[in-house]
Amino acid sequence: MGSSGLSECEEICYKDPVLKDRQWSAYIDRSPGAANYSEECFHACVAGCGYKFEKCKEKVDEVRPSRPLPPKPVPVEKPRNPPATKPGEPAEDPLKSELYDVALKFVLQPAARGSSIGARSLPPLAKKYVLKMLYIDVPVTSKSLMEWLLADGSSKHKVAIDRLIQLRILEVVDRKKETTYKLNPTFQTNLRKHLVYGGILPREPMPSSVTARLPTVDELDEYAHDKWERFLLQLISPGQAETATSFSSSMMRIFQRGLIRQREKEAPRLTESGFQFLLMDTNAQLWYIIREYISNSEEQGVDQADLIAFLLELSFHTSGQAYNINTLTDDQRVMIKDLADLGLVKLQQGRKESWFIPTKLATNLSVSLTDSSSRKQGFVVVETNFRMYAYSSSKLHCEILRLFARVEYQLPNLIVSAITKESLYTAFENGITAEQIVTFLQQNAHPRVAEKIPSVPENVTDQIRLWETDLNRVEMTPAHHYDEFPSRDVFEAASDFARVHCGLLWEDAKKMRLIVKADIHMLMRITLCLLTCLGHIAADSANGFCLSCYMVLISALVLVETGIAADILLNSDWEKDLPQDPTGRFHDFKEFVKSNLDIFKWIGLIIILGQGLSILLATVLRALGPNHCSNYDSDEEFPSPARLPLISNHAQQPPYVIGDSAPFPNKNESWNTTK
Amino acid sequence: MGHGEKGRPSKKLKFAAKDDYKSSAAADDYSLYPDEDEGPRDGENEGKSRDFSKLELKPDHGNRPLWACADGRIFLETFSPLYKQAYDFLIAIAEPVCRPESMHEYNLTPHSLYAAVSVGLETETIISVLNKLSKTKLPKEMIDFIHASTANYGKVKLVLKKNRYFIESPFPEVLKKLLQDEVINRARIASEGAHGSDGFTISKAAGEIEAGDDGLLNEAELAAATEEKETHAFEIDPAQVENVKQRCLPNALNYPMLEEYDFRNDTVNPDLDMELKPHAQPRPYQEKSLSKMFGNGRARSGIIVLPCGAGKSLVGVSAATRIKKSCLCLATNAVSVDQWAFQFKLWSTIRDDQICRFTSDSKERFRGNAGVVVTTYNMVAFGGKRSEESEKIIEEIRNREWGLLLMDEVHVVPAHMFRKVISITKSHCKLGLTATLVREDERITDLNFLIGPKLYEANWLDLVKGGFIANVQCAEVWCPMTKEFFAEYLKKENSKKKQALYVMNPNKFRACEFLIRFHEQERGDKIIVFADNLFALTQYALKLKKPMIYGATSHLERTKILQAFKTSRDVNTIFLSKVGDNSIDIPEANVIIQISSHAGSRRQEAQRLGRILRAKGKLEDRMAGGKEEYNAFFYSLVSTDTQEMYYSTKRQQFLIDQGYSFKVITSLPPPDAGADLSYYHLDDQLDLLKKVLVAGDDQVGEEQLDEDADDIALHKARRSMGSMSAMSGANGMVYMEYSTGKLKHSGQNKSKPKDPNKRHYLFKKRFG
Repeated sequence: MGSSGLSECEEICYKDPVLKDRQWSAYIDRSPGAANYSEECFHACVAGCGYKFEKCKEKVDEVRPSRPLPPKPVPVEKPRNPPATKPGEPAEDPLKSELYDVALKFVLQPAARGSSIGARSLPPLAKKYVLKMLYIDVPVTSKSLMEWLLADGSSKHKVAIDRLIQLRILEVVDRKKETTYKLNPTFQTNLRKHLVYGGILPREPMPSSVTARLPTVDELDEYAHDKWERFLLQLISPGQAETATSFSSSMMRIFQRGLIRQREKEAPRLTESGFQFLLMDTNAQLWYIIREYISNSEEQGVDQADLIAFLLELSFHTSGQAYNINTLTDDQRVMIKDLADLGLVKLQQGRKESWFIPTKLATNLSVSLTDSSSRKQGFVVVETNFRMYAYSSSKLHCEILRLFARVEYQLPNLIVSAITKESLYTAFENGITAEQIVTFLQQNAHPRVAEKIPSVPENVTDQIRLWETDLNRVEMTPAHHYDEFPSRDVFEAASDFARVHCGLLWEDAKKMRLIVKADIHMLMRITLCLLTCLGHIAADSANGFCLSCYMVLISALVLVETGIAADILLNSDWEKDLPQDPTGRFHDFKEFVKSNLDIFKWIGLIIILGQGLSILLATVLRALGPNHCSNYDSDEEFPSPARLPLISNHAQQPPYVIGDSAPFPNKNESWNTTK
Repeated sequence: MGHGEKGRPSKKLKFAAKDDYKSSAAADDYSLYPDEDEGPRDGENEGKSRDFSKLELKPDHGNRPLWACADGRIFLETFSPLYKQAYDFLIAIAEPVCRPESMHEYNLTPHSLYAAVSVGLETETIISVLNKLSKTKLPKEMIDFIHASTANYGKVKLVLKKNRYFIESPFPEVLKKLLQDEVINRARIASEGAHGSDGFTISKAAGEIEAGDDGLLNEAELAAATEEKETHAFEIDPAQVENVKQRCLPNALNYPMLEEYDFRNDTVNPDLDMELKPHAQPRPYQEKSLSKMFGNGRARSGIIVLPCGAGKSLVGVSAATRIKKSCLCLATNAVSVDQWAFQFKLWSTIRDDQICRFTSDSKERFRGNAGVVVTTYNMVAFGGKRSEESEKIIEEIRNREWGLLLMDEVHVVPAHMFRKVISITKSHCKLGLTATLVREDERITDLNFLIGPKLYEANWLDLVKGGFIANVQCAEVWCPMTKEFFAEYLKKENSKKKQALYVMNPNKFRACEFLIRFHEQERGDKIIVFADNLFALTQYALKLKKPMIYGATSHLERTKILQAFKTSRDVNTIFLSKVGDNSIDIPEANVIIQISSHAGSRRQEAQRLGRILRAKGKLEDRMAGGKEEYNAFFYSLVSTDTQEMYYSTKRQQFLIDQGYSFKVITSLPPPDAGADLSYYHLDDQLDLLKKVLVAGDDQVGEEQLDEDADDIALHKARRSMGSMSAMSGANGMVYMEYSTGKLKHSGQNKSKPKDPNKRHYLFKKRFG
């Protein structure tokens, strides 16, 4: 096996990362799979040959000398036309794999399609296996499969089996002792039927005698391109397109969903994903649209299964050949009109008959998403002075550029525009990111500048990014604003507290206002509450009047509480007195209380006890306090210092509140002195 | 109109010139392009793109290098095989708007076409070559425009032959038309030997276009252009020349006259015996610019625009040696007077006694009847009382007929005193040299009439590629304001100190110090630090212990410091105020750090860059991929979120249009390397802040120099939107107009450019 040729190696290399075989995992991981990585992939594969034998080094050395010569285009070629129903790389493209699942359900049913599509895509060996196993109803062990092979064919065998399993034609039945395989029963019966009874053959191209002049490949490409572009143009800026496609506006809206955001009384705007959509290559865009189309086909009265089957079938037609439209069912005729609007097929009317010609877009439907062959040539030149010259006559390109640049001149094959701060801000507002724009510019760099490094001047890309970060300089922090502090002491204590907890955002010492982060809002509230309490005590330590007030207030509070409690207890339908609660929150709360009645009882008790205690405490304090009630009879008699330190007592700062221990110097001073 | 108007105050002159221009536009039916001189970047056109996609593309458009739009804009691909030819042609007929690497933009304007005609191109040639180069069919509007603009230009020439003034034209009907005018008719001197029915002198003039223009025209066209032509001429009274000239200006007869000097046939003025020394080898672009000037064996007046360091002085000296007559050379200051005298001696075989300097310090007089006088604009234009000695010299300058008036840094000429210079001196031919034909006031336009059209403008990037000037890495360093400084900056009461605050931003200081250290220690570079703000200049220089030069520094001391900078190994950094902007030749320096600048002056930025453009090191090292692709560095330090950001963008516009790019550096000094720099600690920063705040308002302002009215113009209130000159090479942009020079009206409203509503849209856009 070591001396096996390049052909073996590359087959494995292009195996999709589906197979979970441990022995091959190193290989599989190294196989990027995507076609544009094919070069890398090849190298990885060569390296892989070494990895594969890592377990026994001598063997690697044995193999290395005879290792095949480096790349011919062969390995690159291969993935370009991967098997038809192969869904690209399921792992990296959920879109397709999802579609595949749907498709498989239907494809496997109609015999003709199943077999034709299935068989056509398989490696020769796999076809052989299928034929051999077609009339075997019991599972076949892999050993007996191997017996059909020559000695050196094991890797081919692997590939074939992998492919079959991946396509779900082959089912792995029993893994206990030995791996055995079995054909998918549906597939099997269908294929058998097909072989016995024959089926509808895939549509044959019409003879050239019937069809008039057929468009050349280039013409067809151009037609498809034009159609597709027009469709996109209509998609992103509905007002712009001259000739509306036959898609109803509702259909169009479905396509636009997610790509375009329309606010009331505003021109529709492209969203971030919309821009991303435009950045994709045509094939990927097509897939996106087709998926939307399929998922909404039910509403149009088209059977999803039929649609998918038809699309797949279409992708097997030869591009550039004419097919008679009469071979289509009525449903399909409806579909084909839509597809013609997308540029998938071209409809032509002959003298008697009419026919359709699939374009490259249609045949490419089945090609892997990451196929880079469809990549268009770049057309944008960006200069260091932020001017952008796009070699293009396409309206679509103009519209795309307009998304983030100011178009200044439109010439027959040149669009002159300038990237400005303003235009970029509009783009950013629409959710297009700087990175996307830069990628777009780099991907579409004109061949003239693409060979330079970097293809887009550094100062431009830097500036685009800087402008974006400029926008994001403002950081939003949820915060709370405190003002109307009762006294400077409380204010300062509060701000110190906030500072200690790193939550102070802003303070205004003059007007005693404070903004703190929302995180410590709760803490702040508790602190402030405590502070106020302490403030009361502090105040009382110098003044009994305050305490008396407090007592009165608390007593009143207790009375009210008692009243409410009595009402709830005695009045059975007290709820009716309450206003209607539309939110239902009250009800929920009540339920909650009811379900936790025990706990709430305790809570109530503690509150009552607390209140009682506080009254008691207040009384005691008042009795002990230095100021006697005789002091407060008449203000006129005692206008004196004893009264002053009600709350804003500067003379006598309560040391336990202010805490000079705060680690920061008082910032305000530096501000004040500089004024 | 320059000559006869000594007495008029400058303001009138200016408006006269402006009106002339405007009415010419009206008269010539330029109304087709109402915003023609404001350019498509103007605010009015914002948002509305110009759609010329209907133009018909020629089938072989891939091979042709340019697009021409109906509004006069031309786009040129630089990678086209025909680029060189197309470039030479376009630079002759159109104003470059921007010239980055792959795509150039030009604007066709009446002025540029006037210049084209004056170097000998004809309407049909312009159109046919343009059509040949264009990818599309030429828009009809453009053809009409070229016709309209060039119909009258270049038809009439004023020639000073054997000290007799002749009006020359190949078209006798034009001369007839001129003669119908009363003033001109009266000025005419009937000659005896008149040929022809009209009494015009007829002569043959061959070779309108010299070989130098070969590149731009195909042979067939060349043949057509050089076809022999009969010229008709009549003589006019020398005393009436000024009046005749004025009658021919666009507001009157609209046949602007080209002035040419037939120096070879001038036998009246004595010859000056000097030649270029053999080692003086003009570079290709210098040759080209000279060939434009001496197009048909005569000397044309005009302006040659070459980047700083590209060898303007050699062009000037070569011109003087070719004319070989007495030459008056005007420079901006005493230092550059010395340098010009030195250049003359270096490049030409002139004898020491034939060249003299005339400055306040040295008053030399040349012997013999012909020679070169190098002096400053100030000396000539000075209006006050002079010493007896200088009075004599001035008298001599006034009375002499100069063969060549060579004006260095001509972009400062439009200030009123320089107009005076031109009116005082009588010269046959005027040559203006500059690197930056931009001013923030509108008076560049006047140069068209004061000196002549722009004859040649070099492309900076091409010179860089050719290795003639240094490849400069430009960088804009963003220094965030420190919290304390920014708080002060935002206070209303500090509005006058704003500049001082953002210049003294400690982060900026640290960045500056870091850069100085880096370049001195790691690379051994010579550094110039520019600061317009005197307060900052002194603070920086004192703190870093470096020598500085500003307006008050004496000539002697300046020379000493510059000498030390050039030779001493210990003096690697000097601090210059804006006296160093122009024409101080410091070839050693290769790093510039700009800490404060003069508002939004594009010229200053370019001039400062020019200080380090002189190519250094081996050519191969400097080419792309060489070991020192960039060996010159230009740093502009900007405090973020301040006015400076806006100014800085504006200032860079000229250089950006020349194809330079500014790289933005956001973290200097690097976070890990800041501890040993000054102002690391908050206390130091606060001390600095206090210093700035304590300083009086007058102390922290910009340095004021008398000699440059352009600077003063920038300080004054803006009154209206004006158009930048068509000559400026940045025609597309509109800048604010400032009131003129020294008029100090109390009623002027002091609106600062930072007001976002009044900001130019181009910058509005950048500053949101």
